[in-house]
Amino acid sequence: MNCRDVQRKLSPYLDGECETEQCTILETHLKGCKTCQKAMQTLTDTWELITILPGSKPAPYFYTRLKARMTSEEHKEKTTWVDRILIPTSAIAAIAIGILVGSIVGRNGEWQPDRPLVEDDIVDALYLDHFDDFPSASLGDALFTLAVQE
Amino acid sequence: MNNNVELMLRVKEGDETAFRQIVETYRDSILGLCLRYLNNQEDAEEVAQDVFIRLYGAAASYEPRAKLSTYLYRIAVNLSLNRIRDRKWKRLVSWETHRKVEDKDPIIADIQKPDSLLEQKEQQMMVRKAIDSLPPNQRTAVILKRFQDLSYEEIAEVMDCSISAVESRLHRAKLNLRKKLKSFI
Repeated sequence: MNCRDVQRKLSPYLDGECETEQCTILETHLKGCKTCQKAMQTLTDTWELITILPGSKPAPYFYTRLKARMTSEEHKEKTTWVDRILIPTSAIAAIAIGILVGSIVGRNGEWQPDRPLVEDDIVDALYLDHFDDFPSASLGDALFTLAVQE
Repeated sequence: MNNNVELMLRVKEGDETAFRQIVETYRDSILGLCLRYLNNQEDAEEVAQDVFIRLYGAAASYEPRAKLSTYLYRIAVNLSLNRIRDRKWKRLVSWETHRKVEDKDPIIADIQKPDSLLEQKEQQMMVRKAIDSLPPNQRTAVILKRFQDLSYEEIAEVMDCSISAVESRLHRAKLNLRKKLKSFI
């Protein structure tokens, strides 16, 4: 085995994944080769270094939180059809009815904006049988004049 | 019958005690695995929960083919990689700053000089970066070998590849890590 082949096998050798025969060949080579010894040492040090990362923190309530989440997701699945179908359908129906009613009232409504208000309109709207004019220059007279357009 | 197989069959029947036992048995190793990918305890817990929720969902169609641990690790690896991909995408579209990596990790020794603590923190940060910079296959092989202590055969099952592929990935990963961390070695 040359150095290149040995160094390619160092990783499984260090991980204890080499077959016995191969281990023997590697060890024999390593005994007499400083380059490969150095390569093995560097690999070992690298492998040791990465374990300085801390582990996960204890999670004693993990199962409780998991169960709570599973219950919540199950509940969401059950109500989804209401959110997805019933509510949007109701909203669309309400809008359609609103448009329909609005167009009917608009066509048949009493006030027609292209005709100026006249005195009779106001008297009718107030359900008065008759109306005596306000005294001249009174506030009522002024307001009434403003409301009625000639 | 293997204990885990028996437990899973009970979960299939709707036995919550069996499910809880599985969760308690594998909780720490799945959490640890997710943490190695995500470097954030909160994210790791969330993804670990996802793993067990998936397991529960799959219980109805469970057939005792693969080892339960292999199955769990495979789900954990895939979900963790998905989460990393999502993070990168969110960062790309929302100009989010890099998610805060857990820097409140416990320091091993209580009685140390401040310089040593800072140095240790810096080393941990560099090691994280080095591992995170590995291609996904190499990173997975390293995490499963070094932190989960799986055999090459078990890693091959989780990663759905040959043992020689695992050997190759680990070899290249170690060379890459050696290069990136040479100033600390």
